[in-house]
Amino acid sequence: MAYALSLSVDQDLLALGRAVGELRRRNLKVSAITLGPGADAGQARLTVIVDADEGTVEMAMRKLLKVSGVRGATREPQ
Amino acid sequence: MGELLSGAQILCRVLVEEGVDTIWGYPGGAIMPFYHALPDVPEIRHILVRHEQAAAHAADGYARATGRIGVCVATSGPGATNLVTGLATAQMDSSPVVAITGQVPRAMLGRDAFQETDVVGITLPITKHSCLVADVTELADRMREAIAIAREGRPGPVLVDVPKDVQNQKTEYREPDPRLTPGASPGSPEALADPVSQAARLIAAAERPLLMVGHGVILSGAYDAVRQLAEKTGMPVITTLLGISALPASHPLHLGMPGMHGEVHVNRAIQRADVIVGIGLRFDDRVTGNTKGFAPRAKIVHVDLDASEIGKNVPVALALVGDARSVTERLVTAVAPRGCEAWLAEILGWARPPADSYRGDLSPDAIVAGIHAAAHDRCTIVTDVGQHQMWVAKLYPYGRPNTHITSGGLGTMGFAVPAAMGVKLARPREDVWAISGDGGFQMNMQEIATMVQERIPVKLAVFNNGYLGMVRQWQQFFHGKRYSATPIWSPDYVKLAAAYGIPGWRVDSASELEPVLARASVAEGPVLVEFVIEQEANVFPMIPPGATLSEPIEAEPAVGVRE
Ligand SMILES: Cc1ncc(C[n+]2csc(CCOP(=O)(O)OP(=O)(O)O)c2C)c(N)n1
Repeated sequence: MAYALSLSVDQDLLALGRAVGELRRRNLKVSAITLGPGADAGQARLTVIVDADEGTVEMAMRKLLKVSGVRGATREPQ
Repeated sequence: MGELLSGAQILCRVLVEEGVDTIWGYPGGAIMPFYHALPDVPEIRHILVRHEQAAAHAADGYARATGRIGVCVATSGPGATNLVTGLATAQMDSSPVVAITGQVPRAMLGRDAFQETDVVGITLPITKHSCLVADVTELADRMREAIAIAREGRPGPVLVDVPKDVQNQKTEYREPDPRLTPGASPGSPEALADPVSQAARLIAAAERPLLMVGHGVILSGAYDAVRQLAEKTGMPVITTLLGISALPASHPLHLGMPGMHGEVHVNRAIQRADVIVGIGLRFDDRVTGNTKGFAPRAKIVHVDLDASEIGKNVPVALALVGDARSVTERLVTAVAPRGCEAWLAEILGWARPPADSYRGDLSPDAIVAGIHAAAHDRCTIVTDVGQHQMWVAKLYPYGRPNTHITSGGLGTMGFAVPAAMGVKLARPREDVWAISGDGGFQMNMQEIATMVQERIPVKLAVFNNGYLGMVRQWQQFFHGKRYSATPIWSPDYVKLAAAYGIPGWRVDSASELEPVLARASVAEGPVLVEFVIEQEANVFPMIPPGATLSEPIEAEPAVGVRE
């Protein structure tokens, strides 16, 4: 099942690296990744399409919310 | 206008502001400005280690023993990469280690300059937070932020990388902004009211409830609350490897350690329980065995500060996200008094005398009992990784909270000797024993020099079985006794001690234990005691990897004799 994860991340490569690294270490299948401007100044919107089951995505979301520089995360089934 | 300070002076100033009195490190080119500033800061004692890995472990030991941050410092390149194992160890065991590394000057970044490594990149997945500070005007706040992150919520290591030219730049020093205090932790009282009463109902209705407690209980100081919860409900208490000493081993409700090397009756209790209240543990695979068969009858109530731990490894019936101490205190109020006498008696009825795999008279039991007797429970034990770690975890009758320190999650050999230095500085008035195997001891034994130079009187114990014992045990059980790369030669430890100018003893038989440990106990400086133990002794019981807690190996599969 594909999910779109939408993350609000500090606008620096370190925070982005941490967020993407959290997905990488789980070996998740990622089919798209885009970065755009975020809602607030200094924030970026990172959108990632992952193919994984609900439980895996839920665990990834909770870990992402702990990552230093990640300010918020939501997900939607595709 | 504030004082004009260099970046290096700012680093020192922030450390003092944060109450840091001891740091561990090793100098080099990219961190020289910091070391130039340090002698002007009498508040901070710097301990020169012999390898940066030891600086990270010592800072970790200090943090675990005090509950405060532990600080280590290294130069760029090899100095920084040597910290990696220590940071990963701290990350796995939620320890607030703060690493400061020098970096090449900003103009050289990305050019493969001499001793340039991307240490922020290298440590990204093994730190809670890390940053390279490229602007001296931000340095103080970035340091304070990193320290706050290390401490707050579930603690963890952070790394601040500071280019050499930033250390040299001057800027106006600003006091901390009181508005920048860390955010509130999760688990507000309102949100918890409901789950707490649900948990109380589950406990009341259970026939075979168990309490399982882990490192979170120690990190949050929830000992009294855990003891009260156990006593009010009669629930027997299981302590994970990092939860050991959260409840005195002598307490009538104390069962011991679960998991791969847990006693049969402890694991069987888990398999039979109908409710398990887990506090501040993460149900790691060494605790659960094969999760498919873990606690098949139990509804699990999981108390943890870290929401991402809930349901990660085992399905949870009820989650209470919050600080172990405050949640447990609320549970104590909410539960109705009850007893579990029949259940406890049933569990204790399953206990059996340990399988005797030991041929000589200098058994691990005798050594552990000897150390305990000599230290009169005025002592913290730091263990390394391997068979000795399991023996000590299972056999030492811990009486006081947080007196057992070991590398749990990462299982880092070489941890004990340097970590014990940190523990000793944190607890100068009690004995600190570093207990290692002959393998792990040789990984960081160079730190004896640090102990001598800095007068850190750690008591060193080496369980010498001539093997990388735990791996040899796996080879015996699961690899047809092919002892590939596990026999390990040791130097003469008594002469080694002499070379470092410290007292050393070799103990070959039980009769020597008492006199040697008595002398080791009263010695003022560091001491080294080698215990020559049976080469092929095993840790029993053992749950084979991939098996469930119901499938222990309880005795020697085949008696083996090494040629
Ligand atoms: C740094 C590191 N390398 C390798 C291992 C794998 N390992 C786990 S236990 C063990 C053997 C430890 O031998 P020793 O220190 O002699 O202790 P013993 O098991 O004999 O008590 C090894 C090699 C490890 N845990 N850590």
